[in-house]
Amino acid sequence: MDTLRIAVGWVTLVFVSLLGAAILYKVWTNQIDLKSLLGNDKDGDASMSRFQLLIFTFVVALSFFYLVTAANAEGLPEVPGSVLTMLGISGSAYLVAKGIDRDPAPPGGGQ
Amino acid sequence: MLENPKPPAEVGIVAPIQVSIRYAVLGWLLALLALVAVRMLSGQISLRGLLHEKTAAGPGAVSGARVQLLLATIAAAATYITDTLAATPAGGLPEINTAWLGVLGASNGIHLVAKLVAALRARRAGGAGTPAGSRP
Repeated sequence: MDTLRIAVGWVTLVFVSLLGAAILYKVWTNQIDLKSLLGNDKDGDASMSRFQLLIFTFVVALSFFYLVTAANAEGLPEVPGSVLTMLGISGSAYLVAKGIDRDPAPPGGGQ
Repeated sequence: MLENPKPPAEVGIVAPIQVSIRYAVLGWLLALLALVAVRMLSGQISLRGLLHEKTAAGPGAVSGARVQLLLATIAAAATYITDTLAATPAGGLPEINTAWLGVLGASNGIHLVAKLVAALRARRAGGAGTPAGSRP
């Protein structure tokens, strides 16, 4: 049973690693274009809210996997409410900023 | 964890795959982070106007609201990474100090108010034209 469990673990790891490598390769070769990762849809200028969301996403993801893969870790670590609040503040600010940027509706009321 | 320690044999079998997962996941995330950082530094991911007010002629003067948001973001991120490195895995992700949440909320609020004021000014000046702060 242990052998089967370990085999499934290795197969899953190799499969997910290949998927991850494929994504990195496509980003590297610009098949996945990150040029407008921080730019808005309207004029392409970089957005501070997007930049903040990107930083917090990387910080929380790296912290989470750092603890998941620690030598004496057991199971998934608990995500405290304050971390979700931080991501919520960042995401909400981004949405509100998008709302401010929206062109006002024309006098006729159309979109 | 201390009450039910894994038998030595099982630890010996599982350990290599755990180490491999650790390197694979963290390696992938760090590689993606490095890729994004290099592209930002080389200009392939545009940072044009990140800290500048938006004007009709393109990015204008440096915006204090954007600069303070950038500084608050970097400070909060650095603090959290430091807390994580000092944390124990069994305790889960470290809590964020309420004061830091307040700082982030206030900082984002300042940024949004400055953006709203700029957009209203631009709309008042140019009718229903393009808002000045059209970067979210």
